[in-house]
Amino acid sequence: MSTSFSNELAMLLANLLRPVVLEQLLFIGVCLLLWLGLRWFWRRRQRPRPLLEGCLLLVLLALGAGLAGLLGLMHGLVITTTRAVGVWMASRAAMALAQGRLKAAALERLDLRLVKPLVTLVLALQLLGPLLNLESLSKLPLLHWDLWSLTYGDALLLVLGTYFLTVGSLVPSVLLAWLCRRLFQLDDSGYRTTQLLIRYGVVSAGLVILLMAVGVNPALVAAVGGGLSVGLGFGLKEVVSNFVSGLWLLLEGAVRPGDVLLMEYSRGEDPCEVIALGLRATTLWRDRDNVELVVPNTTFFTQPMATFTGVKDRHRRAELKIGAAYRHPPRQVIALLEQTTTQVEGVMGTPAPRGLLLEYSDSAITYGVRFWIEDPMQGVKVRSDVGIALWDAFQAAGIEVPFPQRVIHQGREPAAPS
Amino acid sequence: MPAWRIGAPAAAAERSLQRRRRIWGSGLLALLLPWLTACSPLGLQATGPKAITIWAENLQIDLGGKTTSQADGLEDQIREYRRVNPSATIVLRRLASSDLLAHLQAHARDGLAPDLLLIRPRHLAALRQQRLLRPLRLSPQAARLFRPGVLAMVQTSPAKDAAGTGAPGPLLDALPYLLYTNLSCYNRDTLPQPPATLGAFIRAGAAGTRLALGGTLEQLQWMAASFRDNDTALLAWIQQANLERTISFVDTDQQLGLGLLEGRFDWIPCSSAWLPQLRSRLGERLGVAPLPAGPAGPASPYLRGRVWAFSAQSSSEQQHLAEEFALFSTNPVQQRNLTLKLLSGLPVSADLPLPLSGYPELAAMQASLNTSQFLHTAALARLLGLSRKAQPLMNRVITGSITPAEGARQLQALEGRQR
Repeated sequence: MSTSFSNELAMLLANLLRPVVLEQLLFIGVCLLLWLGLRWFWRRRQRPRPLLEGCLLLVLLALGAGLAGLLGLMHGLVITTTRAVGVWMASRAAMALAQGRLKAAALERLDLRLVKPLVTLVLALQLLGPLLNLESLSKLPLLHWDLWSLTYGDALLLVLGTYFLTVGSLVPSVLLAWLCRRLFQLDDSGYRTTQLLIRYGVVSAGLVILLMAVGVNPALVAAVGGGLSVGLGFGLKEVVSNFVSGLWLLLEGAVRPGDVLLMEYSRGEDPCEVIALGLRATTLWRDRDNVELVVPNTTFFTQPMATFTGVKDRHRRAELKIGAAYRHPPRQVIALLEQTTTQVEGVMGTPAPRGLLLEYSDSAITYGVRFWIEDPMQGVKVRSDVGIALWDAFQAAGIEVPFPQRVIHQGREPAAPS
Repeated sequence: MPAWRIGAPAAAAERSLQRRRRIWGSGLLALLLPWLTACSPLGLQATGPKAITIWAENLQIDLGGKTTSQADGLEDQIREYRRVNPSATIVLRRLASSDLLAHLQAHARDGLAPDLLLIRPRHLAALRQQRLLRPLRLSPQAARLFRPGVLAMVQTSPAKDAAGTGAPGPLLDALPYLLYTNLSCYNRDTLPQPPATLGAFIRAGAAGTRLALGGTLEQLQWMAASFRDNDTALLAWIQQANLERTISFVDTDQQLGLGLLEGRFDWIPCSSAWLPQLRSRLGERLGVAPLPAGPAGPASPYLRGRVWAFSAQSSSEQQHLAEEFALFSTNPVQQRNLTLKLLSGLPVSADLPLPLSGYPELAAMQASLNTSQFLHTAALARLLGLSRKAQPLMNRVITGSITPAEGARQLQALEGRQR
């Protein structure tokens, strides 16, 4: 008779009522109760120690399995449960070991999105495997077309495979990108771009393999793709446009994670750092107000932008204007400007700061000092520091910073006719 | 929030969490306790759904592609049984012979061995040794429905049983389901008339007919009686057969079946269990006949078949359902329908009239059955053990490395050691 979910459920219930199975469940239940009691006793006296407590459960279950074996009872389910607890504890121990080696937020994300779901899936299969005929159940048909049918197993493989592919691709992409960084001396943004490209590659290849594994007919994919393309043309135009733009940006390298941009969208002089280049939008971070700007990828195609981290280098050049009274010799002022600016923290020594006489203004001679900053995100701060340093230096050297003065001469009234 | 709670929200949340956990835990325990008290040490039995699992050993020849219909008609049997017992759930799983024991042991470790096994009798000895079998006591009325000699093949220690508790019926390791006989299978296009004797067999080989034989002692057992158990004569005939270029000795049944299907052989010894597959591929070209007779009498192969074996791990409800289903499948009506539908085996039921004249396959099987040996499972286990041990010796005999007389002497020494 062909398997069905109702048949398998009936079988599961009937099998669970077998004396040999009940004996094993009793062993497992006693171990669990004993563990709960010991844990309660421990926690009344000590602070919770999840790893240690888990190991205690493992030991109790192992002892239970050993005792059942000594008594000549079947104990496969006790061993399976012990193994499941062991796998779970191993995953917790691995996470505990990784603490301190990885960033806490990244580790938590990895644990929640990948490790816990993966371990849970493995344990579910391990525990249900002996009780249900998963192989037959997975072959039950879910959908049927003329040329192709989708089974429950295929559907599960597609859903879980896509999820774990998307989430799990992070690990190989990080490792491969790290390898590329070591081999090709990549900088930060190059490393991040490589990582993202590898991840897209892994996900794309994985999806193709998944579709092939479930036996999707290429003709069917072409037909569905043809139908979808009409929908894409209208409804999903923006999404597709942004996605393609994102891929293009990555390939072209015009905008990469880690780049510092100055663009109209960010409103103002403050540069923004590219945090992530997503499928639909790019996330920028602005230092001034700690804002994360989510910019659609197409924006980079329609708006001009300036980058401090392009092909040449990552350095930013800044300028500060200052006026000095006419009585001070320009050579003395320029020398002071260059000397003072060099000593400010954040200003690069090479290329050296350069002082310039810019203009003979109404009330002062306007000078400018141009200097290089290593970290483009620190532009405003360093310029402020330079301004303060120059004020102090002018004060010390007795150089006056004049402000516009206007002298008003009042004319005499004509004498009255005598 | 009341002032007294300010400053201790975390502790309150922790307490609430603990309270929730206790409630859940108590609920779970309350649900589990009645169930756990149904456990055998407490002498209670719980009632559950009427459901059993059947594992059937797959006897098909591996054709490396599409599988054809099975020779056991099990799906039909389950369908028929559900007509009279619609509340019963029967899950059928088919396993390859090579996987059967390993899967069974893995499930048995968890206490989840299948309730019923449809297997070849050769597995019974191993299963009995691992205490996975539950013997079946058949009532005398039920026993009388079976063909004479069939039950004796699977009787649990016949001597002990006879002198035992004085129970009214035989105690069986398994219940016979279907009998498969050994036959000659041949291609009518290339071999219009199959050899009727072993002498004719050699002559056919000399004339260029491509004939194949199994190379193991077990595969050649059907000849033993026709040489009046004279090992030297048997081995001499084997050597003589191997002198013919067109007579081949192969190691496995698989090679024999595939050889006929792929046209490499014109004649093979076959099991009637293969007939559905051979028929589906060869159609009208497939010819079936009894095996060739020897100088001292007709071929006398040991009777093959399928038996129902009962799990020792089933609950009482599952045991009852499994026995009921197995007995249902062996009642005369089901047996006759099965035989006529499959045309690949003979019924285990006694005195069942079959229309032999209209079915040449059935006639050939019946003729073969009349000269077959009903080998007890213990004797079968001995034969299989000896066959394994004697394989190097058989290879030396077939290839002419030793004389038939020397081969017979060594074979007898092996037999002596095995006893």
